[in-house]
Amino acid sequence: MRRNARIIRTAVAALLAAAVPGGAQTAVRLEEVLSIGGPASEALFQWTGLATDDQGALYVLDAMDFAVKKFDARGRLLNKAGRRGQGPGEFTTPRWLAVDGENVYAVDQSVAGLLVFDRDLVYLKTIPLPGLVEAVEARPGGGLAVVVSAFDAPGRVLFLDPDGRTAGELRYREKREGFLLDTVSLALAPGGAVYLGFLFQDRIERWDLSAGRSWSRSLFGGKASETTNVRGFALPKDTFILDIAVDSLGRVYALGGKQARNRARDVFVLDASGALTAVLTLPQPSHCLHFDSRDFLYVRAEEGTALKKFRLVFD
Amino acid sequence: MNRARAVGLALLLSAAAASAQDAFPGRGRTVFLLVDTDYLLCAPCSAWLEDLARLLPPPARAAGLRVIVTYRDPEGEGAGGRRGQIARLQWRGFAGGRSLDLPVAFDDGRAFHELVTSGPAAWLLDFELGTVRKIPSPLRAGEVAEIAAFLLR
Repeated sequence: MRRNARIIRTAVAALLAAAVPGGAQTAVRLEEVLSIGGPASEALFQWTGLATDDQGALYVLDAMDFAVKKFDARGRLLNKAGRRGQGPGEFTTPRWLAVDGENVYAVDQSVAGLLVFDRDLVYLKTIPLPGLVEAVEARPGGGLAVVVSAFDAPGRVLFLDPDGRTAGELRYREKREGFLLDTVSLALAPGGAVYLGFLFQDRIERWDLSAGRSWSRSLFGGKASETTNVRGFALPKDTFILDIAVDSLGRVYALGGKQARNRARDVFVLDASGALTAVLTLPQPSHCLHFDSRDFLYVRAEEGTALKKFRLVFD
Repeated sequence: MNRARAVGLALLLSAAAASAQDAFPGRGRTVFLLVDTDYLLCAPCSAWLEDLARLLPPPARAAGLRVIVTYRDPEGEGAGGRRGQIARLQWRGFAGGRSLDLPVAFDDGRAFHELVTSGPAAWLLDFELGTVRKIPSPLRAGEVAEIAAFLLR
């Protein structure tokens, strides 16, 4: 335990030079600047979704106590809302969050829509959508992008205005590739590019709204996921990209899944052209990556009972 | 399960119980719900636990129903270690979020670890008779009544 704690405190990110084939190698260090929760705290029990606002506040969804929590920039709990249920502002399977303007948008995995709160976590309304929501991100210029999973219309990113009206659409797949194979995480670059990380495929894609798909990259040799049969469904077993994020300089960060050398800890850094420039390793496994507007990185720690904020230093 | 196997398992569990603080009441018959922390975010697993807690009559619950929470602890640090603390924290969040009020013990000595299977299960033990019955999740018709009858017999 002492050894782990030391690793966490020093927040060493290893450069795995061998994993950057033939490209320029950039060393990346992680400096921990904030930690919220942990085994000795009751701030977080098992957090899932995270968003930040322009004041440095953090909004966190906790799947264990069905709550959305707001912390200030120093990690102090300011407010908490939500409880278990299917009524207004209630959760059954809280997953993802986004902040846009004065609103906080929450995704519950069992709800075909977005739950909308204000920044004080007062529930406002639910925006209905045509399917369950796989991912939500705030758009750099305002509004939201959501990946909606609808059986008759797979592979869609919907762009919404702040009131939830559809303002555009990106079709990244015209038909299903296989059960769960189109499951993606989503990241939006400042210039408008859309990045998709595929959970069950070795694939990261960049899309531009006007030009379509710019590129597609694999990180693990293009390996296909093995499948397992569950009640007649061939379910993919291998995870590739657990989450994807973009910083303000347009660098793309992909969190590797089961196929990574360090599962849920290796983060692959790509430039805007898709070239792999570095690999860093988180101190502990995470399920997601989030950057705030000042390029601080937020990840999970202590099996979901803690949240860590890091400064990335590129040498 | 044959009688010899049942007696052996009952003895094993009896020994295991001694290592889990307050795992069993001081009587010859008990039911424990064996739950790994990995199950706490599994919707069918939590539904099974909640259904049992909700459907069992209070006298049956009070007569000897316990939850035993197991967790991964590769370094064997037990209750005071990081994993033991996290298991307790996650259980508090889980139970609090669902208003579950069940007596709980934590498998800090990993005595119950080998009994963990692919989902939570109820174990019905009668130490005096040396009988053991395992009822795996999900709940089937008649199982709540069977557990209640066992506890109130």
